Amino acid sequence: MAAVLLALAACSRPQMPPFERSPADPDIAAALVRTLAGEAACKAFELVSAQVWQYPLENHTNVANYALDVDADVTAVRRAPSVHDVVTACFGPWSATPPEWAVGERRTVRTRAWLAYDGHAWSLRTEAGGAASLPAAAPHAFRLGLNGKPGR
Amino acid sequence: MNRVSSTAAVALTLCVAACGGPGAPPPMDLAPSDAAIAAALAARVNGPDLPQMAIRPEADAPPSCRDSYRVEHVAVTRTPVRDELGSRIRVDADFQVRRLAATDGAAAGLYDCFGADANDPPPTWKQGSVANLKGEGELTWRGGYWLLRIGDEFMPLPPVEAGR
Repeated sequence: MAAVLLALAACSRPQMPPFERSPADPDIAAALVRTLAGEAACKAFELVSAQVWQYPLENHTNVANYALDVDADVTAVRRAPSVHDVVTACFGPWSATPPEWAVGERRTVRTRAWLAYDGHAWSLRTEAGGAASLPAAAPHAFRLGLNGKPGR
Repeated sequence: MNRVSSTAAVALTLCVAACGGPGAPPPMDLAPSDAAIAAALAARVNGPDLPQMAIRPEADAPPSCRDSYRVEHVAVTRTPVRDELGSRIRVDADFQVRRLAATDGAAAGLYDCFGADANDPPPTWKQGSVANLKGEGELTWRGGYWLLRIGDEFMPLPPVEAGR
């Protein structure tokens, strides 16, 4: 019975996501660009590239939130005008929305995404609700924290 | 009595499954040796990186660590622990570190190079001299490999026979 109680106690504590199995930044960036490109709100942009930073933060982890935060600087070219706020619709409310983005102009926009692990693979979710699956990487070293980036 | 035991076994099985953990208890006899842990900790600062350990740029010790310090020796003490968090191995690391940087401003931060638990070095720690630093962490079994934590640094290590 003591073993059961010990196991139950272990179950109830927040679990550390397997950050050591997280995809590499370039793989996350490629999946993010593919996912954004498939979203209707992003059709007004030609997505060129993305640079991402993973945030393995222990305090972002609890029983309900088993995820890894991602910041991304997405470079895109505006290819169509719109009366709607397509920047926010595509890149999310956290994006630093440029006041003017002319058609044909290339800009870099900050957006956010999240990676969740289900025990086998990581799933990437964007601000606009798009999703992609990424295989778990081979175990690698990591450091808890902001990876040199300032906190947000 | 048998009914109690079987109920407990079923509950334990369900709980382990619900936890999503590796299920099997950690193979304590296959934990990385003191020498393997010491080599991993020294290599992270001194380089080159251990071949079995993929270190990504964002997790590697900053290059300035290698310009600022050289790990001369690491003494590792492992202590098996079993509590409400499960079975794991406490790891205490005593670093002997030679300071290469001449001034504080030129030296990389101890936090970045040796983890959050690195103690303050003595004020007499001058360029070329050796100081003792302590690191603290643990080894946890991740189902197929061990994960070594020292401070905020995590490094996967393959299972090896203890003492090898």
